[in-house]
Amino acid sequence: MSFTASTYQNEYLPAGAEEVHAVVTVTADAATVAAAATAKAVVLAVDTSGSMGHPPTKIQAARKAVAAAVAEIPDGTLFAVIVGSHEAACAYPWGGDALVVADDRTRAEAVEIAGRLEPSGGTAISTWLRLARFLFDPHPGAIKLAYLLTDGKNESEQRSVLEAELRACTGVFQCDARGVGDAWVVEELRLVTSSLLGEVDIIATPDEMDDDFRAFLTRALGKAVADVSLRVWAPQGAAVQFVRQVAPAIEDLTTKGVDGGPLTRDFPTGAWAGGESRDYHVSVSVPPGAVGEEKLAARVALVVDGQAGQSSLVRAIWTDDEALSTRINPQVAHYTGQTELADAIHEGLEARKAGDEARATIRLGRAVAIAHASGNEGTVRLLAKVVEVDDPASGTVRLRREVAALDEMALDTRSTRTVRVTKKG
Amino acid sequence: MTMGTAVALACPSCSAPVVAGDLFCEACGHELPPTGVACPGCGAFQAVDGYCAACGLRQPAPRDHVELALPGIGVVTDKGHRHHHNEDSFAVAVADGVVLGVVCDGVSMSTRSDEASQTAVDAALAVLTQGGADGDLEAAFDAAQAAVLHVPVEPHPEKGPPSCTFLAGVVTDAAVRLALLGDCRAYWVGTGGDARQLTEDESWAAIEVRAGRLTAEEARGHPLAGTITRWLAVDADPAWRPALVSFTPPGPGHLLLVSDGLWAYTDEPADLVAAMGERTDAPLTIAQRLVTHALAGGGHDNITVLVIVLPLVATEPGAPPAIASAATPPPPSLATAPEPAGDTAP
Repeated sequence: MSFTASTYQNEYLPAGAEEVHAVVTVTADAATVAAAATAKAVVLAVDTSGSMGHPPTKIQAARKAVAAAVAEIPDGTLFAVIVGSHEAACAYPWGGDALVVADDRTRAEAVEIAGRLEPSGGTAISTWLRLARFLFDPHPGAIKLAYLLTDGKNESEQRSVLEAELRACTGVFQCDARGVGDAWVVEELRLVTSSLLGEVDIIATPDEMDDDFRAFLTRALGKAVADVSLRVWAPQGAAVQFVRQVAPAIEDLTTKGVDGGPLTRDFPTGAWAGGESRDYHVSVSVPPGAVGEEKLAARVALVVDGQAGQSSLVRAIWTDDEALSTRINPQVAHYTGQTELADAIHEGLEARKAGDEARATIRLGRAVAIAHASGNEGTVRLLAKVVEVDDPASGTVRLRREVAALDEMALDTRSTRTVRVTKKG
Repeated sequence: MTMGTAVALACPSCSAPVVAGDLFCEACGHELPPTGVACPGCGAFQAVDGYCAACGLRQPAPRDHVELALPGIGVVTDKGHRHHHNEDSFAVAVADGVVLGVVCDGVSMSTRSDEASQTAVDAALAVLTQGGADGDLEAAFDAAQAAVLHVPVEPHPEKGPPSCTFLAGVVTDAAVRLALLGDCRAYWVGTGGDARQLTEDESWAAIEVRAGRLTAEEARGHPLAGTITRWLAVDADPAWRPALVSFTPPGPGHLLLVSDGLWAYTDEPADLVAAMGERTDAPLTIAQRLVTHALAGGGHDNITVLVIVLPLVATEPGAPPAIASAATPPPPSLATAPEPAGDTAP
């Protein structure tokens, strides 16, 4: 697989400045398809706790969605279906401890078993992840993606147990998570997906489950290469301040870096599909050079199987020309704004929950203004269900008295989604 | 950090640790680019992509400033104050009774333009030296364009593919033949100080002035003043052919081939003549003065000045041509030190 990387930055710094910012756009070659030897493995982990039976439409929708998804798994794909409550078990292969290869027989058996899922028990998500880890573990080279669906709080275990299991799963497989209805906790599932390089989303009503399961399968099967890392070299004496995925959604990778050699950190980015494109905001602090001096502040490349692709250079040039050093790079400014947008939503919702209406109004108003100015229409719509927008440009808003829990959770869940810089003609 | 201290270096291919001075990575066998000179910032002996592999400092590039003297010829190219790379290049050949010169200006809004201009001057000069005084300027232009296409195109969000302008001359005592694409200029300066521009800029500003839509003064201050309308590159229009100019030198004098980094500060021929100073000085001295003049004026662009004295200085008949370029200085035996004033005066 080949990746191209382009750097967007203003490389000019005023004398004495040390902070260098760049947005690096990485795109996987569109023609890339998975090597024949690359196995793909998917695990569906479905909540079958007692609450899934109240109302019964939830478990009915889950049966239908699992059956529909399983029926579409292509021949040769490794798969399993986990049913999870306060404990976990393989529903397919029933009581098993290994992934099975999809073919006409296994698909038909799995579809048949999906129809018999019954709700009972509590919720301990770590047990579901632990089983998924055991299933994926014997397949180190494969593209491994799990899809986890729950309708409730992770109430049957200590938080520390979930955190420990997430540490064990990190690097073994990736996991998307979905909460159905409004009785689950956004922050819990975000912990899962942030740790396991997945995405979290809300399924408002059970009838949307079917499409979401299939969309996951399409995404998973579209992946062409596993275990891609973003490699960042920074010179001696420099410090990488942060490495942040900023498109399609904000995900801070800074603490996920592992040693990639001298002066080099590798940040895991998971599996990529051909044609997939992501943006990263990298900030490095570099010992300042003299005016007129130029330094390489960072070299950024994607790494697959230890092989680094074409690298993109982040430069720093110290100048006394203010016309140069005060120029603002549109990409860096845009994603700085999108990050502030996500923070404003998070803080606004927290303040609202805490009863601090003044702060909630200010922060959510700020969010409306940024989302509006950056053309992030999806987020504007989600915000408008939580606040009355009087003037989007200035961010003048009033808190709504009645806000559906689903709307608030949808805003919370999707607050990290970004849009790219709109090209001005 | 000083030389001798342990410097953490990594192989640019596999990131395995390497020791300063290693020629190959012990882990993957990747050839390491030794600099041969210590980084002026930290003393490490290894650079990647022109930057120190330890402290990141951009390493001084040989092309940042090049001076060259051949019999009857002086050339200076300089990166200027504002640009951080010298994307201008030149190539010259001196043979019996003929001087061949090429100046190309890499387009700064393109990637790898320094490579484009270098490969263009080399390819054009190679064609011209085959013909000597009959050197085929159009064939030289075609060779330069073909060479530019071989410079790898780097994906870049804002910059275009490797590009440069083109100016080549075949000079004998009897005739000067020129080919131009873009906005380098050729000037004739006679012994009496009479100066004239021999070429017409192929730039937006020059076109507007020639059409009478802008005055020369308005064009100078215009934000689009530096925008060229033709260049060599993969995205060049195949219909773009060089403008051919023939000129009969009226007597002794100086022929100048220059990039826009100079003429931005000597737009009027009279300014150019004034900046040349004492014209009986060695051609290299004159080229140095002109570059100094542009640097003093702001040095906003790369500057290249090629000064040819007419009549040409006689060289040994039948001897192979002395060839040099910005990237390949001539062997010491062929280069002449700047002569004392008067020696080569026409």
